[in-house]
Amino acid sequence: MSASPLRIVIMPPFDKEFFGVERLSIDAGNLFELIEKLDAQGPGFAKIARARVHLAVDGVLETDWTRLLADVREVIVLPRVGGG
Amino acid sequence: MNAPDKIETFRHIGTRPVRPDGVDKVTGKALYGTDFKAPGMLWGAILRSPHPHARILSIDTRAAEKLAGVKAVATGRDLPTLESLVMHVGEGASDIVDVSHNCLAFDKVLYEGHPVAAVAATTPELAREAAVLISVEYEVLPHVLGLDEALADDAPLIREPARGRSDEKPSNIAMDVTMGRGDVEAALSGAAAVVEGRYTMEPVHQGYIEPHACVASWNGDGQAQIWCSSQGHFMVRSLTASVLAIPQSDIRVTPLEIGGGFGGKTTVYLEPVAMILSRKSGRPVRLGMSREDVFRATGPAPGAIIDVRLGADADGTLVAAEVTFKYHSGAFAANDAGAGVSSAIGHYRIANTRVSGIEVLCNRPAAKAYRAPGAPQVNFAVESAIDELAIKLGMDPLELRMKNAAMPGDLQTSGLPWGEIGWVQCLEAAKAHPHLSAPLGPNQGRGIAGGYWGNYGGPSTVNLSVAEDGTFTVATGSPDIGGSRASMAIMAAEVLEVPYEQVRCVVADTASIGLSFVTGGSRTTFATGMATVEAAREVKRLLCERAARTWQVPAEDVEWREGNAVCTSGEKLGSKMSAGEIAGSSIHSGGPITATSALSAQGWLPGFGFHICDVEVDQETGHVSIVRYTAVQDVGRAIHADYVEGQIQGGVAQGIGWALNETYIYNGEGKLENPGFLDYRMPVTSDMPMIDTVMVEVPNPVHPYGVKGVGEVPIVPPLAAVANAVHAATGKRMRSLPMSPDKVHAALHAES
Repeated sequence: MSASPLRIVIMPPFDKEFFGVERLSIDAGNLFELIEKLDAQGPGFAKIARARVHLAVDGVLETDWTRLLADVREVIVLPRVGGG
Repeated sequence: MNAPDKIETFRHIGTRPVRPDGVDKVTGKALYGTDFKAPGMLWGAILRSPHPHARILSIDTRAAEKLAGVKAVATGRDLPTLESLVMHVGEGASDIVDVSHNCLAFDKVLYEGHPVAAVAATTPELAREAAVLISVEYEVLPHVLGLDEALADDAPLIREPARGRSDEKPSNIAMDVTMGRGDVEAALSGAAAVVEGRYTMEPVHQGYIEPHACVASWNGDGQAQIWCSSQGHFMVRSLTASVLAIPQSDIRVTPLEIGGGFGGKTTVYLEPVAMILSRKSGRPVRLGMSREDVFRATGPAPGAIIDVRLGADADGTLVAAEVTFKYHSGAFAANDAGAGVSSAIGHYRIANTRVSGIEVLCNRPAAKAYRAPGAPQVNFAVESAIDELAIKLGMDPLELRMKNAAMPGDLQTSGLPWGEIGWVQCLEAAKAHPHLSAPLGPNQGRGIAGGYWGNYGGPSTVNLSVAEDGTFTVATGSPDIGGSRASMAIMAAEVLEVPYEQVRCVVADTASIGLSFVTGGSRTTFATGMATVEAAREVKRLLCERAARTWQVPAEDVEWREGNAVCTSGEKLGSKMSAGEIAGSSIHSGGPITATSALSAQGWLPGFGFHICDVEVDQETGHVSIVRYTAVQDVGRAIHADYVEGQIQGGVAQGIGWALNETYIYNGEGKLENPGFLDYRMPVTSDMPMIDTVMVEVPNPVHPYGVKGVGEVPIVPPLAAVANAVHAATGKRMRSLPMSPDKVHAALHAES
């Protein structure tokens, strides 16, 4: 669990689509737990997260969602971009 | 110019060895999707909708079924009813219900060419004859193709209601994304110079030479095999299993050679249908597309309407940027808007930004990824506007770009900081290039443009095994589109310190290697390369360990040097064993030597490019010729230099086609009028000059060999580079693509 609640920045389109806000404060031990807690506030978010979401931990994209968040200040939730 | 801090020397990295798949491909032996045949195979045919939008009232297949030689007929009713599930196994997220309904229409057809029914018969002629005998009763609905038309209050709704917006008035907006920061309006009102403009284009196709084709064989025991070419056979397995609601392990997908994809082969169109026909007939079934099918029913890159406003101080400091765009989504929700927002203005340091994009559903085939999907369209608008702004400010357009260029640590549009990007180094390399100061001839003009693409990493699996004679086989799950077999062999040979020819690379089927994401997103040399290096390092460690045990010395006393295990101390000091000697006796030292690396690669970095284009405009006809072209790109580090240059040249060629010639043309009935290469004008060799490439190497510190993706970046800048060159030659700002002779002629002779 993080020492103080994480600052969660919700980027479009997820802010309007699920949460109605752009900022949240949440306690979570790792990113899987964070997704679970975000789903509680924005039902359906967890279902689309693997397919549509990238998470940036303190400014760096993180695809390992077992990543511990003890010393983390901010997680940005942003759209996952495909390539060709 | 920025010289590197230290020069690293390599045995193989950066060399240009002969491609391992070359002989098969130039002699015609290589097995592509259309070449594969299975014993007892039936031939399939698909009946496609003649209407762009219609409700299916009934389908009568009896006449087709009665035709001698017909073994199976399928419609959308043969596919299982699925619950909505958004998956990301190709390029971008797709709802599996959409994937299913795109393979075979269920209750409505959403574009001309939408598959309605399929037949399997003993000959291709019979299959086609039977397909025509299928009688479909349609209720034709109003259709809509244009972006603004699809957004009108009275526009026909493609989906009822439009998905994900049930709390709002139903519309054809499938996705909207907005990012930015600061106060754009205030900054623009205080700017010394402001430019604004609207830029437009119709969809274009990826234009791969090989049409889609597959063979499927689904046995009575539930197990199935599929042979096809794609950008990812694990993607084919995952989507086909999901559409059919069967376990993935019951499908084994064998990848065949691929004749181009460019993002367009990152989904399934035929495979689930061939599976249904195979199950019904009890025989393997082949399905293939004609060129017309490819144009009518597979994903183009979206057309666009893009509005741009840029503002700068008198010294050229960019103070505000607003980009608002609409992209064609086609019949189902596509993903390009997100990438378009991310790729519009992040190459400049601007305090006040707002980038907003929407995906608009319409009665066209569903848009699919095309090389840096979503980026070339917005880049065309932004880099044209930058050119216009430079003229307005009286500044050199390169100096304006250099003054505002984003550097490591600057914020992207998403708010994340850039990592070790090489954008400034590209600009400096371009400034020093002789092309920029070369004289121009009559009716010629020079344009420049820069752009970027984010690239990707993700899951890859590699198995590296040692044969008894000490040669090595690298098995990957990544289809070889841009030379990955050679690149993997180079990286493994580099780690193992052996000749390149001592390492061979194969693309293994889904039952023979672990999960690997599609070859797309410019990820394979980065991510699969990372796994290859990891596996090679482990094999090297195992070889040293076996030698140590053979010599009865501690493992730390053995090192790998020049392709041999070498004892570095004690009684065996100086003893050497080759990979062949170690592997040849591996049966007596613990068994075969092999290592698997399965990882989800992180730490990918974007690529940046800067292009210089000279054109000559025929004042009488409006025809634009490309007379010289130079592409500068940060490639991280080139593993196989020929392939890197080839990727850059290929991307430029496609970008030039997009700029000058390519476009979908629909008639008033919503039917495509140019579904072939005679009328859909892609550039050919005689249209092109030699495309010069400059590889700038700013290595990615996370990758063992500094790799950054290179395949997508080069299609981003050409649209604006060509347009800016046309402006320089004629004084006319072309804001609508393609800049075909009729449009250029009209611009040149507007007064008449």
